[in-house]
Amino acid sequence: MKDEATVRIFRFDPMVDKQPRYETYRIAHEAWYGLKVIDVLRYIYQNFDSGLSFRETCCQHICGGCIITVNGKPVLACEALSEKEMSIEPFANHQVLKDLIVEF
Amino acid sequence: MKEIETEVLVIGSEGAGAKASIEAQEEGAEVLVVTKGLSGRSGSTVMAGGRIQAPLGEADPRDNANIFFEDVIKGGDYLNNQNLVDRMVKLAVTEVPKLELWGAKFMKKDGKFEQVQHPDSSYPRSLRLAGVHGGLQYRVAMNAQYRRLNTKILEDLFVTSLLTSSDQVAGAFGISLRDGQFVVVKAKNVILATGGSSEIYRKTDASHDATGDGMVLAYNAGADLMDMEFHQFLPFCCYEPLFEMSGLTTRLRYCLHGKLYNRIGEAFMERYLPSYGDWGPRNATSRAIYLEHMYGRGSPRGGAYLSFSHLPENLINDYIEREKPGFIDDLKKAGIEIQRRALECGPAAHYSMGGIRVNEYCATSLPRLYACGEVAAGMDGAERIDGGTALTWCLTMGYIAGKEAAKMAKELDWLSIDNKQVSEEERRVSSLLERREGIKAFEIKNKLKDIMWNYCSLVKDRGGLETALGLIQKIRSEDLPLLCVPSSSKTFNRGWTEALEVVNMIELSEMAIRASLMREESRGAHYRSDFPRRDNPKWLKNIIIKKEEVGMTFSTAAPVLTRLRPLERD
Repeated sequence: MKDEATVRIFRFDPMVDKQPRYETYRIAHEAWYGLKVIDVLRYIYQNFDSGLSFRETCCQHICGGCIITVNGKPVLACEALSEKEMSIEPFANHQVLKDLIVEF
Repeated sequence: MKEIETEVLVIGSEGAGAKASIEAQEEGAEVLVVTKGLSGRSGSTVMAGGRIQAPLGEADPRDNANIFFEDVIKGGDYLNNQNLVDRMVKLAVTEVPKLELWGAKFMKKDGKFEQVQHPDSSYPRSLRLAGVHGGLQYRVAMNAQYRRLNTKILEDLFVTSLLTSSDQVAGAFGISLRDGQFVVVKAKNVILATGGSSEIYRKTDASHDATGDGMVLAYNAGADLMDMEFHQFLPFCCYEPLFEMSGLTTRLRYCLHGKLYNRIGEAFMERYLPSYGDWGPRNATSRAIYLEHMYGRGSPRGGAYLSFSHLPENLINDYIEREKPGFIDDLKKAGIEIQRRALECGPAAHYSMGGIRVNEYCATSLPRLYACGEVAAGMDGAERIDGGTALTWCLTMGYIAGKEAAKMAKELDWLSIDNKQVSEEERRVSSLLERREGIKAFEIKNKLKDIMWNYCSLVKDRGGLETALGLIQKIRSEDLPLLCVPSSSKTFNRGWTEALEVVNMIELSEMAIRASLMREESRGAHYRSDFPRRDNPKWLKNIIIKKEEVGMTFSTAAPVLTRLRPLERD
């Protein structure tokens, strides 16, 4: 069997949650390998968790709306390649509105 | 529920909306801008290429607004509103250079704007914004004005319907995506600047939020839509997975004269366009690539191979050295070396010629409602010309709509908000949240995008269009009743937003299909393989779409022709 990816995502809904938590998802090889982080986020939203919130606009690394933190580094989700182990958090030092969406 | 009052409400914060709001504020109106995304980080403007067209005549003094006018009308195959285009081409001369004063950087030489020629223009007319993505310069300019004027902008606010009072627009109803709160904005005038509807097609290089919401807002409120059978496609969008839809392929193709091949290694463009070969117009080239795919001769991802291997390696390396296109580095990192390997590319939906019918004041057929930019129709006719006119339209129509709405707002009284409409809309949008299991909005979107791509895009015929219409009816009768939103969250509930969008997208798809069925000819971006010729005696007309008691109705109207008419032989 080909490698699954382990994706750990920061979750926080200020209207419901007292504090943030992390959810871990296992992603089949064909849903992450050679694909971008935004593809994995979309896959999770479509298949595992419809409540996951993230921004996705131009998808051509121009607008900058999808900036997030992956394994400690700020990246554009529509630009960065997925990795086998990913810890995905909101863009640092910005107020979190929900999950990976921040106030700019 | 939150209630807000403003003289002028602008829906859409980017190219056209930004310009409209700035002009309305300059005119002394109180303005509120709302957007379903983030200002400067959503919509199509930020993704614009580096060109913006204005007949300044700096590169060639023979060029002027009249010649620009003629190019636009001929490109639109005479379906444009000539009164509107006449105002816009003149305004382009003043409004485009103004962007520089507002902070956008242009390429200049000896103090003059550089102007380059595109295929549809008689003279070099397209100004070059600095950088690879000209849209970013536009963003700089507009943000500076927003700051200077202290413009009130509400972000993440999805307007779901316009509110009317005795057949005039009185305001709008929306949802704050941040907390699910309903918002009612009471306004004397509303300007729609929400952009196009390219998202209804499987492949599109437009922003993902180009779901055509504004067109449906206007339609549902009773305004006329027009030209919905005309959608523009670009031929050289990247089909490689990591660079999907990147327009940078286009740039590469133009700079390095790439050659197109089908899967059997044939340089097929010679067959379609013998006199142009690989350098044909965008529309015909898109169609040829699409047809090769339909005949089973496309590349694996449904496009064609764009090759640079006919060029010596040192020539390509010299180009890379000189221009430093970051895109080539990105490709190389992904294992694609253009010296050795072709790029898969093909057509993608790019721009809506159709939209809300406006007159030369950017006024819609509904009192107190204006539309500007891609959401409107009338400026482009059957095809928008190449070379950065979309940004020109944003500036010129934004100018017209902003000034007009502000001026009229001084004379108009407030209309009262009809509470019955508000509660009905509240019920409609809330009811979407009630079903947790069923068919998800993205699943319907996917179906719709395939239907539109397969039957109502570059090559259409009666059989295919009727099939498409049947499939849309099936979505309406079988899928829509089961439309669900799995998450109950009121905060950035993507499923809810997508549900609201897909309802709009179904309407727009049906309009495009039925207008395409009706137009039994080929003209501009609309190509019917069963009616491959232009038919001026029958079809020098716009198709108008209106919501009546009985539903979606279609009629025709003569285009506004003033000083330029098709020649007899056409």
